[in-house]
Amino acid sequence: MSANSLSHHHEDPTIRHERKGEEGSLVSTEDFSLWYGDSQALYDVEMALEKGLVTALIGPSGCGKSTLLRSFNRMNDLIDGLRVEGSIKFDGHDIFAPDVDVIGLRKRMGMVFQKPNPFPMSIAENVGYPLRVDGVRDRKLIAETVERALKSSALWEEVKDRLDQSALGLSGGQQQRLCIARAIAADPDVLLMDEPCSALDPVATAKIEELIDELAGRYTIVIVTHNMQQAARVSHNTAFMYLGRLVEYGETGAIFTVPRADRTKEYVTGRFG
Amino acid sequence: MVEERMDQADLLSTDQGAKSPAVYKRPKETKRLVLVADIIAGYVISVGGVLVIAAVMGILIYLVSQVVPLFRAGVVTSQNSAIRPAPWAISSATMLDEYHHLAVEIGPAGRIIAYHPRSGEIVSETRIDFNGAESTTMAFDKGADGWAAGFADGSMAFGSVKFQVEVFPAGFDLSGMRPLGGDDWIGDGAVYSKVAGGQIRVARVVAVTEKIIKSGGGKVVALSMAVFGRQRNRMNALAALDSRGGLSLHIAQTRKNMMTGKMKISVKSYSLPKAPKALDKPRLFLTENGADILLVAGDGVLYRYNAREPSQAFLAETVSLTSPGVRVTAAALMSGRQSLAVGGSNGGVGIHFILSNPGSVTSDGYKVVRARRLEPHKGPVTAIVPAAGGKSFLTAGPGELWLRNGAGESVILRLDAGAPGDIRGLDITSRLDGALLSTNSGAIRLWEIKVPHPEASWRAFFGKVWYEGYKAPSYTWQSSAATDDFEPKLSLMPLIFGTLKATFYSMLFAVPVALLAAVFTSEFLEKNHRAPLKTAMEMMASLPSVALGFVAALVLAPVVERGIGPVLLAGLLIPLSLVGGAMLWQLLPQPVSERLSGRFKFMAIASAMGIGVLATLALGGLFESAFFGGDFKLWLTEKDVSAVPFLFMLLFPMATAAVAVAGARYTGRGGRRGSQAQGGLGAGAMELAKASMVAISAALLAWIAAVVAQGTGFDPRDGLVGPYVQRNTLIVGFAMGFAVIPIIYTLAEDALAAVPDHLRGASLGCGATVWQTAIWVVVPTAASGIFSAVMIGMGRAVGETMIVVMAAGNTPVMELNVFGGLRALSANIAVELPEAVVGGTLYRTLFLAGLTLFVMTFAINTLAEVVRLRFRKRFSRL
Ligand SMILES: Nc1ncnc2c1ncn2[C@@H]1O[C@H](COP(=O)(O)OP(=O)(O)O)[C@@H](O)[C@H]1O
Ligand SMILES: [Mg+2]
Repeated sequence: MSANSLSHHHEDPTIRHERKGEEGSLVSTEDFSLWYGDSQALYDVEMALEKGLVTALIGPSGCGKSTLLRSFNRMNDLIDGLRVEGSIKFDGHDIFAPDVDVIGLRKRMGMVFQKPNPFPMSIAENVGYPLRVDGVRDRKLIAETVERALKSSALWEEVKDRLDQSALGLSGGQQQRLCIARAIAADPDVLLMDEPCSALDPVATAKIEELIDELAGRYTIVIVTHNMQQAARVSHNTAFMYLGRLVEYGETGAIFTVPRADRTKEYVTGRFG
Repeated sequence: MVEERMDQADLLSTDQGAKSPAVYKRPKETKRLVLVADIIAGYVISVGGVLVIAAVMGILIYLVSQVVPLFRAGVVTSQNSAIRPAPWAISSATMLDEYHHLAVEIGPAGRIIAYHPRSGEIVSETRIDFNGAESTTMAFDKGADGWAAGFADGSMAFGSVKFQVEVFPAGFDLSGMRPLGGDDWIGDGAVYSKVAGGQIRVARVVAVTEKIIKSGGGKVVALSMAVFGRQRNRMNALAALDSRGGLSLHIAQTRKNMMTGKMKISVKSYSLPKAPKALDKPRLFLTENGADILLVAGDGVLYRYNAREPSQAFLAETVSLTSPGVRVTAAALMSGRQSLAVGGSNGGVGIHFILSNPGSVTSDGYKVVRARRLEPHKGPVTAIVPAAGGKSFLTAGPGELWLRNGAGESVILRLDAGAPGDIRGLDITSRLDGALLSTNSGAIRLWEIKVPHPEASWRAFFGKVWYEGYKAPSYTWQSSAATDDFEPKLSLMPLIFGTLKATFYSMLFAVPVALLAAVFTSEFLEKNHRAPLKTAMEMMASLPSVALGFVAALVLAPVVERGIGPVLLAGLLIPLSLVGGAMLWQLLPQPVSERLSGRFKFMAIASAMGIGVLATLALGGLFESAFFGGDFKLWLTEKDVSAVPFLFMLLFPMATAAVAVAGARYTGRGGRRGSQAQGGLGAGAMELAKASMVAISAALLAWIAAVVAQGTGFDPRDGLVGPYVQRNTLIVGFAMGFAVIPIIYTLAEDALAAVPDHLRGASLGCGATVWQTAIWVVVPTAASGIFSAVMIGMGRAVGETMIVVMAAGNTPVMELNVFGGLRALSANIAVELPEAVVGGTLYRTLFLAGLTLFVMTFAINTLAEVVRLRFRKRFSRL
């Protein structure tokens, strides 16, 4: 491929398909660009996340999926030399506005990371952590929330007898579900998942996928994944990103069956990436 | 993240691989040289490691080998027996010359017999010149070569008896002398001995009568004599008891006339209140400087006459030294004449002190107290003989001859005295290397012994010992003094205490500062500012501790002494102004505060501190006069000024914590507390109001608690604080804290930085603030690492020497007083080692101090290491 065609490609505006979703969008980016120091990681991303649906972010490594995901709850803030342009709206409010409560924003957007990251505390403490952050002292409330969150993440049966044991003793898949439970316990509106299954075996992956299926509807979910089958299975809408741009976005079925951009076609059929 | 980058790299390289024709072929065999180098490196490194371990072990073994002799019991190196018919049944005095070449016994009527102790051969037989009279009793001051005698007509005499020693060069003509075997010869009333270098040492006994004191009393039945002063200005004091119960004190002053060189003796006699009549077997003792005259009767009753003012001497105390029915069978003053050893018919041996004890039942404010009870003999104690100088003494029981030391309370050496007959004479040399025993059936025994460390014992080092002149048993370190009769006090406890005290206060200062700085660096500081700050802190570690100690002692100590009031106030005001500054900062609208963060924030912090300092300077004087009666140092010693303000200062931080915790529990703080973004003026003002509420109620609580505490009689001046000395624990704590901050900071920061970022992400993703993340996730995860950092810092503080030497005042006292000095184990070694005789008791005791220090730091470092390993294991699972 020539440099010319590459750059030509990139200036294409996002190809948009029909999207699933009747309730409107909860989060939307407008002309969103992001720089790590001097290097630009996102270019004019325009994308709306449908309320209560699962949106998959796909694309080759380094294309900016994680960057975009972490922009939603401003987890990128901690990085030195970060700069953004454009806006991201959550529930109609610009999250980069100066008077925004970042902590509150993060409370409304739970996050699950690529690598399971339970705290070196007990299982119950892990799941109850968001409540502790909120200063909740009511033990009953905490216990019930923990139980509900663990049930929601389909972990309850496996850990109910050892809630006070260290979370580090769980298997990788269990740890990841624990992290999902922790995110759920925070009672968020949005769940941001960055390759939640990439470190897991197929059985654990299947469980998490099932779980995402169940959680859809209650939460607006964004999932970054490298696994095309997974994206096809769990998501309603899919966004394909390439080199910091949103290339094609629309209903998952359309993206996988009738992709319009060459890049998308090549990627979803597994010819590169 | 790394994986992803790798993916990218792979993509690129396959692209390039297709274009580039040059292909690298990898050899399938490892070069020999590489293998050899590997083996050699492994070998060298393991040898090096083994050598290091061996060196450490070697040092440890050396330390132990230096210390072990302290705890060895005395040994008998040789033993010699001879039989010579006894000239009399019991000697008034027995003296063994320090080379064991000559022994002297003085019998009734001033008869002197000098003999060779190994063979028993008589060297000379003479007589003290009593002007033809027969003595009825005699007394000696062996340390000063003095004798005294009493006569039937009530008169007394005194003089001196001593070994006269000359040394002749090698080649001295010994012909005509009678060989005694070995290197000794007898001739013309002296013993000639070949000593090192072939020289000839000649020893003979010389007795001189100095003065006869006429007195009109009855027959002298008991006598005590003491020589005070030396040579030019000698004072012979005699206490005498006559058969009619008349007690008298005679002080003979010997002065040398400068012109004629003649000695002139003038005697002053004082008669004391009459002693009870018909005392059975009375013994008289004159204590140090003639302060007291002790009259001990055979039935164990002691009559103490206070003779500090000889013309007005009076019976001050009557006390029984033994249990009912037990007779005193032997008694002697210890060298120094401050304590009396008493042996009973039941075998018991006790040591009695005369202590100043105001408020006691006695009429003069002194009291005889049994301070030590020693291991009893199995039958009546037949003799007690103190060694001249030191506090060791021999006691004899049935068939037993025990060498003891007062401080240790245990028997140092047990000699088998199973010779026929009763004891006639007994002596031990001042160096504790020879003991002589003669019996009334003519047996003469000489033991060559070795008791290098009579004062050393576990009890002396680590236990409470009741020393002469002390009111109660105590832990005391005082290794040397000007006088020979001094009893070394070798308790390591004040030094261990000093070490712990210095460590405690330095940690009190260093740990919060170092840990807060570490948390700040790893959690709050922007990444690119971290390295310079860390480097700067680590540079602090390269400050030589001697420089720190120097600055602390010569600059800081005087400044703090002058301005202790303001310094204390600073401890209160500077944190307050910082907290206040932080509160005000929150009042700034968030966009403003965000834009101002970086450098400006630092300036704001600095100026808050500056304001605190200025306020301190401005209010210092007022503070002192309002709360401490004008002068804090005076307040420390004068208890009539209220302690409430000081108590308030102590209690305020605790009260603040209590109020804050209680407030959080009962008001149920909102979830949004402390969030950065909430910034707005309203929320900030709320926080400020809340904080001032907390501060005010804490102040109230602290004040009430302080008043209550004082009401219940608690006064910090009894312990926590006390008289102010310039080089005190506060100074040491500060200087040593400064010395250990870098190491604690560095290690703690490493531990915090080692906490993986994904945990921080998880916490922040849950909506926690940076501070919540730091204290709930990062610090607990790094806790063992932080603990080990603190422990390693503590190990440093325990072993630190120069700062404590220079800034601590080096007073080995055991008191909690922050404003008092201290002496640490390490400083003690540094200060005293230059003066210790190699191989001596002090020398070895200093090694024991070193070993103790080693054990302490070893324990602390081992704990640190164990925890650190746990920390590492825990991290491998994260
Ligand atoms: N913290 C960071 N600092 C600088 N560059 C970053 C950082 N994180 C990601 N990047 C860069 O931004 C681009 C997008 O990265 P990322 O969002 O992680 O990609 P993806 O998740 O799609 O693999 C990559 O080129 C990456 O190197
Ligand atoms: Mg990623």
